[in-house]
Amino acid sequence: MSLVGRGQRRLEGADKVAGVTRYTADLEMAGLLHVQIVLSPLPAARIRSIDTTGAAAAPGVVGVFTGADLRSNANGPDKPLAVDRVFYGGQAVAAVVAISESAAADAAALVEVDLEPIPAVTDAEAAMREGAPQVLDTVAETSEEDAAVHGAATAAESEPVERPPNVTAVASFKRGNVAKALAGADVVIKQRYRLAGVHHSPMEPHVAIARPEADGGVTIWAPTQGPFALREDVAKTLGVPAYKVRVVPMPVGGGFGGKVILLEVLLSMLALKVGRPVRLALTRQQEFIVGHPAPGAAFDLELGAKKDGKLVALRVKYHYDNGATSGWHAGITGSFLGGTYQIANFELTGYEVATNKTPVDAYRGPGAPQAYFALESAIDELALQLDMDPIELRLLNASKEGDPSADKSPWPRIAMVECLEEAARHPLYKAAVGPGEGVGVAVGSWGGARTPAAAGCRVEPDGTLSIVIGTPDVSGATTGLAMIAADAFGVSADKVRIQTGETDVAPHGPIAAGSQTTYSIGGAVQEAALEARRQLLEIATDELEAAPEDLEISDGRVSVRGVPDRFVEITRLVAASTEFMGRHKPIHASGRSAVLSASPQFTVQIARVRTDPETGAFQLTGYAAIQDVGKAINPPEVEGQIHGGAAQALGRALGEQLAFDGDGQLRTGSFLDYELPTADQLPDIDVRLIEIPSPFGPLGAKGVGEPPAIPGPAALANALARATGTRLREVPIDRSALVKERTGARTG
Amino acid sequence: MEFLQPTTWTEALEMKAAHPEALPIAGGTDVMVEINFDRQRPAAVIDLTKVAELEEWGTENGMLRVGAGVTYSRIIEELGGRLPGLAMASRTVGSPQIRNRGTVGGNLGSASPAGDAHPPLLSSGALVELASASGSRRVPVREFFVGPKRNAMRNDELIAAFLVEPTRGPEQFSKVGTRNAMVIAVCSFAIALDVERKRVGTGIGSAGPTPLAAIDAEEFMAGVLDESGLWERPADVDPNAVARFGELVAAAARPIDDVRGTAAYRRHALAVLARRTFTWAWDERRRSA
Ligand SMILES: Cc1cc2nc3c(=O)[nH]c(=O)nc-3n(C[C@H](O)[C@H](O)[C@H](O)COP(=O)(O)OP(=O)(O)OC[C@H]3O[C@@H](n4cnc5c(N)ncnc54)[C@H](O)[C@@H]3O)c2cc1C
Repeated sequence: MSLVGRGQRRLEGADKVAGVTRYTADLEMAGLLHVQIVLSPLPAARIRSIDTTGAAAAPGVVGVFTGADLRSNANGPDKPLAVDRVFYGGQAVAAVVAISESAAADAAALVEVDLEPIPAVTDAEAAMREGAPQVLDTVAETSEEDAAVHGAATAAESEPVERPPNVTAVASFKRGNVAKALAGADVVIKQRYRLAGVHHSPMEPHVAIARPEADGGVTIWAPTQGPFALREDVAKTLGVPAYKVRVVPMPVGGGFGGKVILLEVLLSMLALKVGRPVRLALTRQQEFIVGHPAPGAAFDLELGAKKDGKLVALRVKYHYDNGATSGWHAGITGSFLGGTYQIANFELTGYEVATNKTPVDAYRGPGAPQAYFALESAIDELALQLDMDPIELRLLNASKEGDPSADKSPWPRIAMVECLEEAARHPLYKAAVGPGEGVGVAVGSWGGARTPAAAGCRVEPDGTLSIVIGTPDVSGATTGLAMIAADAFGVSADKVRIQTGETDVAPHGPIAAGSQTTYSIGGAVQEAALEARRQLLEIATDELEAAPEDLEISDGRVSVRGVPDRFVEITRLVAASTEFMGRHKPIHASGRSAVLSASPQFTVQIARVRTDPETGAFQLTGYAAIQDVGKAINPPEVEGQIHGGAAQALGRALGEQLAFDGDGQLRTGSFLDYELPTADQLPDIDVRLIEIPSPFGPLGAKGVGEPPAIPGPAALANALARATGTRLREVPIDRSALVKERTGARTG
Repeated sequence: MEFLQPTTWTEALEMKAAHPEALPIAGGTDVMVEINFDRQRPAAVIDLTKVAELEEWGTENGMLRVGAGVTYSRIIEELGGRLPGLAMASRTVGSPQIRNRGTVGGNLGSASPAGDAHPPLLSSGALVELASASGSRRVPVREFFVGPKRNAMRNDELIAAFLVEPTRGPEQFSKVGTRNAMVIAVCSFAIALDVERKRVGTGIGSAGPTPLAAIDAEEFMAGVLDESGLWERPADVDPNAVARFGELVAAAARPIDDVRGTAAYRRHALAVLARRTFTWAWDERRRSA
């Protein structure tokens, strides 16, 4: 019986629970030195001078370095250490290398950095105003590649649009005549929606070790989501061929898009300078200001509809607050705004805005939670105004197979309608609401990424399979891959080990991001296991004197079908193909895949709340996530992904925010002030899987990781609006805005 | 850094006298955060966790005397019946780990306006016992908090204990926060009804530079209950009086705007908490009478 579709515990889970998994920070290494970085306290400044003499003389210090010591072609904010200018608070301006972590930290405090403050702007709207200080020296174009890595094509038409100050790129999508359609609409929702910037908050802060090698290259140990991407980047900066950078992928203690590359270029350079391995492990506070977070965004949205609920026009002007980088979220966002519903007229203009804050990067579904908070809040406002059932309104306008997406290309088979129909039937949606209660729904979707991949497979002396891929496991995906391999080969999943190989020897694999791991690699793993099986049976044919098609594998044996006593143990066959004087060729299989098309995924989530109108406090009392996953390879793992994703997205509404004060200082740089959701804030999450198989993905699978982390903020805001009559258009939610009864207190 | 580890109370006081700059550490749940954030680099630390006397509690002339080193978990388990308001507040502190380590003495030592032990200590009129090598004194908790994160303790003193009368009537504690655990409250409020002395006690947290008592509110409500003879024959309290009580509590607060909430919201929420906790306490009084 096949394993796929049945539950399998995470193969690496027990080690993690028992605390025996060795993470990067657990590694010991001969001659290891420790790095501490000195961070700029100012959001924008000229560097007058950096005096390292005191630090260099401190006990245990091996070297102190500044930007002048490290050659780099990167843009100002991206240089391993700042040169001449500081672009954001928390930018590294110097690095101390010492014999211990504490020696490095003590010496770092002795580095004297003389900064001349220059005008800074930490708010995107202020940055776009005439006369705002210019954040970046050069305005780089949006990197399509960055976006593509995480979420497939952005498909923005790059029409020339006027650019306010500090706008690094503009994404623009147009269809029909919006002005006319809005004028002819029966109802127009015209509102502004905002989301704060948030941080991935991985359990494991960024950490890496770099060791110099004799050939001029380096070996890097890092919990990276993308060993090959990391290798490329470091090699490029060092000016060495990629193979001279060897990346050893370590277990990832939470990545969510934030752990591809961060410290490794700096550490590689320092390692080569001092000629010894060096390590840097960020503290939690450093993680908050050094780790690249997710951007905040604001949307000015006009949504027009006819009385019967038919959407006719959507105009959205929106911007991303990217910190000191050029940014690439707006195009992805536009594809959701313009493609989710069938709207004949739209005009979507998304600005990428640079500010004097830590540069942003990808975070689980980059561009999607933002898009859907605005869109799905507006749809809910429209439903209330039209007095229509919000699911009915969505069904009336939902995109289906063949309908044009935002870039006009037809949608493939998608399951938005099925998800909405399932939501309409869900008890959380149908149950009556009492006073102070409300139910909200919201849609989310993700385009899905894909990258060519390969896998290698060997059969071990004990008859188990060792499969090597080039992609780390950030989600439990390798357990699903093991199930696919086990089914293909004919063993149980615990007989399969999936390892992420060092970049030296591993077959190429995509970065673990964009909901693409299983989708991209599944086929390669399956092919490798089938090929290993073929090679094994070839040996067995000889031993059993039977044709391969008459052979079967079960219980660790190869036997002749229908003649169970004619068998040979797999271990025997492996021995015969590996032992001294053996007669057979060793099993050495590989598989490759290149999925030709993305399989967009849809989800609908339902939130139920109970509110306290006197204090504005509220409690989520129920939550459901309905998601089309194509085919659930390992259903409990899929549910786990959905639980985690929903919790993360709800965190954006419940309290997470990177808040800055007027001086550009982060006010929420610790878990005391940065409020991650806690268990008491989250109800049980009921997961309903819909399985409309993908024609492209392995066994019909689609990506799973991103979609659940998208609709939460809108689902919650919609539920609160229905419970209280107060519409919150900004997350995180300000509870005081929900207060109804202002009796009994002189309020301000 | 010098690490001092006394094993008796006398030794602790002598060490403190010899090293007035030394920072005491009990559960460490505030101290270690300060050190990790590099807000403090104490030259010396006095570890009080080996001093058995600090972990004891007992009665003294009808008062409960609770050692500064008694943790929140023990308050809840061992003193929940006698100090219900403090136990309620203790249940809301941090997480189980924090309640297992954190002490009321440490809360008083930090003197944060958001310290959860403070409102119930204020509402029940507790005394803080301070000791030095040259003697000890008892300071009413209402005089103990002298400024933001500042208290009346001299630098040769340590906190020995707090003293409080066991409950003489219903007590309540409630707080408003963005979540129910691991968070600094937006504001908090404690109430204690002293049925024997016909007094109403209050304590406000997170809504001023120090924890505060709402004295006007206390006197107002005690007067209302007195005038209508409600202390003896508990019956409905005029809702207008309850609303007024809430207003007076809100007026006593001196809140500011910050990431967690505006001053206006804090005042509003305090009025709500005051009305609610009074109503709960009064309902209990009526049930028990
Ligand atoms: C994750 C987390 C959550 C928290 N949640 C809450 C919460 O919900 N509510 C809340 O009120 N607090 C909370 N706190 C703060 C802290 O736990 C409390 O203030 C606690 O009461 C401190 O007690 P402690 O024994 O750990 O004190 P310590 O950290 O050991 O000391 C605190 C201060 O008191 C001084 N001190 C300690 N004992 C004495 C003594 N005997 N004599 C003189 N000075 C002394 C110390 O020098 C120091 O200045 C939290 C802390 C953390 C880390």
